[in-house]
Amino acid sequence: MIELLRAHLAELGGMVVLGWSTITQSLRRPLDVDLWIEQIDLLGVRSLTLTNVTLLFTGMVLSLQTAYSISVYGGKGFVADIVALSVVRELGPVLTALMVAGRVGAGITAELGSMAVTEQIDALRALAASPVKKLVVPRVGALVISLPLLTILANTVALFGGLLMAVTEVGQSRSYYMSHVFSALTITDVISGVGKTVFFAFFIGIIACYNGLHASGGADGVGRATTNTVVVSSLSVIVSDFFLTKLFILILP
Amino acid sequence: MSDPFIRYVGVHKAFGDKEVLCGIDLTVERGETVVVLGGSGSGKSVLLRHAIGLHLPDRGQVWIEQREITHCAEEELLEVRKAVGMLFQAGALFDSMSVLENVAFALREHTSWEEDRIRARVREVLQLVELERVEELMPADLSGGMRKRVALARAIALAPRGLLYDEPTAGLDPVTANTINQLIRNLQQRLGVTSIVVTHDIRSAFMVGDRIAFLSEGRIYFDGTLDQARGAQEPLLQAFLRGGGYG
Repeated sequence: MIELLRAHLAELGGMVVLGWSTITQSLRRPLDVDLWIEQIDLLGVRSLTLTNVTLLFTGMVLSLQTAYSISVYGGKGFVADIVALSVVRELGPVLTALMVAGRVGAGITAELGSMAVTEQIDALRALAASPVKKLVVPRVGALVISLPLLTILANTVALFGGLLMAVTEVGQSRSYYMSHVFSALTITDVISGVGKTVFFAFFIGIIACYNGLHASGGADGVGRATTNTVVVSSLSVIVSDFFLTKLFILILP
Repeated sequence: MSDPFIRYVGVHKAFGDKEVLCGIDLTVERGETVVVLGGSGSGKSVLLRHAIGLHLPDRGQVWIEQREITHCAEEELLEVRKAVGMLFQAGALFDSMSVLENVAFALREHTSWEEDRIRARVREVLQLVELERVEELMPADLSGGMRKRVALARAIALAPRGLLYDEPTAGLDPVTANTINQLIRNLQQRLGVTSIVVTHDIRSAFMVGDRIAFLSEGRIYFDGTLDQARGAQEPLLQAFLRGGGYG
């Protein structure tokens, strides 16, 4: 039991050290712009379909469920307000981050893990290059840039999904729905929602890279590391969401 | 006068409860080729990796060219790694890069050379390992022997003063292994580098080495010339040599 706890603490400590060296090395020149752009394409642009389809249907079902649930209290007119606040403050950022943690986190760990078990990471070190600078910084950087943008787009798509159901199923007009969306939302809602995703992206990136770099034991080890990344990064999104929400409420009341 | 290039002094290394190196003392003089011979799991590769700080010892010291690297941080080791190239057991070529990009990697990282000069240097080192017109191929397109040669070309691209070979003939057929052995010997003569070769291949050891150190269970049981090795009374080494038809 104590051994297990010690192993988990060592892993957490390793991730903190990797996170810190990622921040310090990302500030050093030269910046590998080509690597960053390649990773933004791989991690961000290619996640667009996944995050947008997820949030489109989430917006649609949220609109339907809200209308169905609050019609008993005569609150059908507030569907747009509830959908907008739920999506922009909470569901958009968290669901987008969870989708990215699954797709991108697993991909990063599998890639770096394969490199680790075939000694490519050691080869990089032997060639006097830093694996953190060459592999971790571009991936974490690309995630930190991409996830907020993916979230903004996914939020918009979710609001559109809500609009579709509000118009076709609830019988509202487009202008009524949109005016309620805009009156319900404040800039603080958008900032707190999107702001959280910067932290989610950093956590997902560091957890995925750490597990990849420390994979050992061949294909089996890479498989275990990849599963571990999906579990730990998803949990980190859910758990940190609570604390970040609390923090943003304190600093942006 | 003695001019050690690499020096291990009482090096101990353990992974968890398993002690892999138990007080290794070994000196490699400048310009010579030392073969570290030993069976699987004897700690050969771990010993080799200590030479450029890929592993750091739990106890003891490692010296490269009069500089102790035992407690160096990763960034302080960069200069050492530029001076000492390493050939990994399976080549460890970067899968996502072509042969050209692999061999040019260190040149692009550590020099400010123009692209033309880099390409010329890549052609030059590929010719040294007897390869031509492979620059655009990907590692997946190469045979085992070609991968080893490209990896060797990558290791010598920066003109290192030392070379470390981790099982250079492992997994190769006897003809290709022989070619790689000759290549290692030729490179040593042409480039004059100091080398450590770890292997369990006795034929390879006698072909490429000036001196043999026999490692078993993390201890060096014999350290001497090839002739001394043939006549050595050390039972573990004798058994090993007999197994390879050299006893």
